[in-house]
Amino acid sequence: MRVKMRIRRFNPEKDSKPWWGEYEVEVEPTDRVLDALHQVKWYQDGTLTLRRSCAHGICGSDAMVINGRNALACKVLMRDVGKVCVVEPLRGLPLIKDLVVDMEPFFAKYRAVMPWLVNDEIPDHGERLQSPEARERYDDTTKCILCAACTTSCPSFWANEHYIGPAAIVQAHRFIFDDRDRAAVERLRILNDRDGVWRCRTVFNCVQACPREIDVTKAIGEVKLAILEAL
Amino acid sequence: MVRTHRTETVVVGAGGAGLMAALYASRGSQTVVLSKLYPTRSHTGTAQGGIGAALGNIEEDHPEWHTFDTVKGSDYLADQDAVERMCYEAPEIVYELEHMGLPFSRTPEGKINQRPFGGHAAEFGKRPVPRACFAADRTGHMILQTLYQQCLKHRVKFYDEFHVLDLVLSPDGRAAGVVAYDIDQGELHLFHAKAVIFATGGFGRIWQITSNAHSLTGDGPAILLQKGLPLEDMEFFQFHPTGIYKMGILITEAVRGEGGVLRNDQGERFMERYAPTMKDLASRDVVSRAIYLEVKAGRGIGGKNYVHLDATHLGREKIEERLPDIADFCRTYLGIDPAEQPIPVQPTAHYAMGGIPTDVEGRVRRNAAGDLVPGLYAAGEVACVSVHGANRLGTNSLLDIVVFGKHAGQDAARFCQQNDWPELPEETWQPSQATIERILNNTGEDNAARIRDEMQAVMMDHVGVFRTAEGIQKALEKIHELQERVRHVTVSDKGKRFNTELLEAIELRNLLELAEVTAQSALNRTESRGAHYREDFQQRDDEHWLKHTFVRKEDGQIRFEYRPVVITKYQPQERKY
Amino acid sequence: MGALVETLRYVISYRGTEGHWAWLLHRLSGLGIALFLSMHIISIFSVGLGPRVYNFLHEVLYVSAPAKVLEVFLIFGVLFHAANGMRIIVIDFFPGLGKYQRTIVRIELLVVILVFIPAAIITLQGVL
Repeated sequence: MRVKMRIRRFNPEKDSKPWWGEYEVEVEPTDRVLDALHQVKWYQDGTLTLRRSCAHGICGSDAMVINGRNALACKVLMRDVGKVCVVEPLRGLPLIKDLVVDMEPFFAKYRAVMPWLVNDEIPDHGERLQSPEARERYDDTTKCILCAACTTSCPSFWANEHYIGPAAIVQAHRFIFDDRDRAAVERLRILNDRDGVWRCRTVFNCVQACPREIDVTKAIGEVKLAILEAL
Repeated sequence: MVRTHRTETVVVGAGGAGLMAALYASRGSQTVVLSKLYPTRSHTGTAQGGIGAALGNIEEDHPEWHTFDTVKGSDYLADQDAVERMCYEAPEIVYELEHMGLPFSRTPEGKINQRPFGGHAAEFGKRPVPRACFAADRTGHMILQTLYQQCLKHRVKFYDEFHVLDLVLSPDGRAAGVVAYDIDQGELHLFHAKAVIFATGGFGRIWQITSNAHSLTGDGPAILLQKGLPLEDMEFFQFHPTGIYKMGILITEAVRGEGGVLRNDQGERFMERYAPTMKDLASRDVVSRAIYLEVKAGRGIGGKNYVHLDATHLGREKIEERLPDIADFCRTYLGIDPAEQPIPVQPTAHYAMGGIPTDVEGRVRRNAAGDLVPGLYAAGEVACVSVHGANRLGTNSLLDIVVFGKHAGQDAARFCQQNDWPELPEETWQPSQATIERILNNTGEDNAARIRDEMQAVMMDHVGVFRTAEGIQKALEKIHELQERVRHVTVSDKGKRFNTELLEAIELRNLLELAEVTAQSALNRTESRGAHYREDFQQRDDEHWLKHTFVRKEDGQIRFEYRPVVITKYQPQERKY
Repeated sequence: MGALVETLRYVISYRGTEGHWAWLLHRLSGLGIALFLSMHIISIFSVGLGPRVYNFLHEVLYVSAPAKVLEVFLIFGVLFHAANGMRIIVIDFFPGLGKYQRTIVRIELLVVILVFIPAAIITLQGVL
């Protein structure tokens, strides 16, 4: 099938502002949007710039806005995008070039929630025990691949770049609800900040955007309740 | 201008091996990690099924059995001292990962859960044993996340999106650092170091159908080749039996570990014929060949070149609990529900058993005699210790990266404490600078993507699961032609900022180097062993070929050396599953 | 200012779910209600300007047809803002309900419309 790719372009060394590039590609209905972007980059315009790596929805490199909605380019099939496929960089993060944005502010927020297990009681031999139910409690949020699709789909984040954002809250949730962890209260304090979890307005764009199908808003809601209980 | 940094240990690559190495190196030396991707994008994250360790949480198991299975799986080419070390350290290191916070799936008693995997057996091959410690079908993702978390906790310094272009050797032959290209700014940086650890991963992108990420272009081994250093056992590259038809996306062996079976066009469970004991859980080389033979005999689905992986009898509940990501891949890319329909699969280029030769501490060998390059280390898929020999068992790659990543990191820290910085040669960045300028200023018409397509097609046709001298010769002719063409490749993007077109051209040059030595090594080894199957030499030939290949390039000429296999307990015998 | 325009562009052009549009409407209705409240306060203060101004405002201007139409908008805004606020509170306390958020938004809209229609008819009776 023939599809028109409308791609938001910006070269920091040449352009003063972004512009739209249009390209025709011939693709299979089962091809990914990433395949179509590669067709443009490899055979039509080598200057098109994007990040990608694993190409099957695990590494989280190629989150972008596809037809007005955040998604991984390697997880959207061409048969689902129609005759025209509009591709833009993620919103709310500084634009570097074409579809590449600066991820550093995003990772800074991730680092702010102490995303590591805190527990010094290590058994002499073997593993710490954890019941399947306790493991299940935080299963959903272990799936996060830090692609930033959720955070950059959030109107609260667009309006306020200091908002810690859904991804960081999801990462905090993964530890707060892990019964092996001992720093839940500290993390809850961090998230109780004015730019913490209370900026969430339950818009649910993050749930729709998450390529790992994490129930992001539920995780945020659980953190809100935990703050009410613990602090 | 070139910015110079001085540090003690430089780790190149931030997958499982690189992060584990960084974690341990940073305990005894000032450490920086350079990665051309953000660390969490590394390919370790896509590993699914599990990490092998004889914990015996479900059934009786012993590191000794694990060792035997690994040696047998390797078709007796693995160095048995290294395998022993890995398998005996496996339980402790899995516990260590748990202590770091890795969210393993649990048994009802709360222990780490385990499941069967291809080639892993009880009592030296008698029956499948649950040895793969898993976190649903996201084990690699959890390892990568956990190790990155630990690195952040311990404040390891990262340079993300820095593409390493060159290794710097001091005049007296020590590793002295690396030259890296800052992708965002387009500037060269020189990292002057006492120890350099390469953990750059595999190079599956030399084939058309591969489970490997676009970024797996073998930059590390290609750099060493250019420095005149050898690579080991390059002819052994694993084709995983179950990649999604046409796309190559990996469908974990855990599907078969949980009870899934392979069926041909007649609905027959054909692995019963090829491996009566282990059946669908025979080692990967055996299963991949069986699929090819079925297809060749016209029993592929609808006469095409794929078969079915049938998991419909497992039930939706088990699939959603144990294999949720697989179910997601099937829905997303195939539009099918694995609980109701079989999955179309074909072998996909998956894992390099060969790579940079190292000893069990991760120290890089300079030649087949075993002399070392002081201060240079390699770990993970890029290294060849060799624990996988001619064929790797599933779950052993995750084990390999953490065990040998740890040793490389520890030894690098020790080395840094005992040594001062080596002397830097003059203008070490010159070759990297020249390469970049040449590509930017080339006036040729040829484009990197088309050359890459041709390389991938010819490697798939002639240097895949089945090989012949004639086919490999053809592939080599093509590769040489492409190597000539790649020198004139140009790019339309002449800018400095985020010039990924330039990097793809450099990566292509690396891929072609590896395609060449892979094909040359495959042509050279006139026997069939593990993943290397020669239709013109179908038997294993222990008399002449029970040895590792060391291949190097000197002035453009390929040179071979050989190193004997270390055999401790297990004498080679016929391999049956 | 540029940032505000950019944010508005994001908000309008993003193809979010029901929650996205409910959020946008919540903001707009909130702004509308705030606007009405300030108007309301100002018109009460107009009593200080004497009976002529006050009576004109309340007996002529506010009962005119255009004002009634605006009042209908106000009713919708108040109803929606209240109902949506309730929905947000419920979801905040029962995060598990998020799974059904699309249905909940639809039910909320239905309730708002069911109350709104008779209210609108009554309001507009004198004008029609």
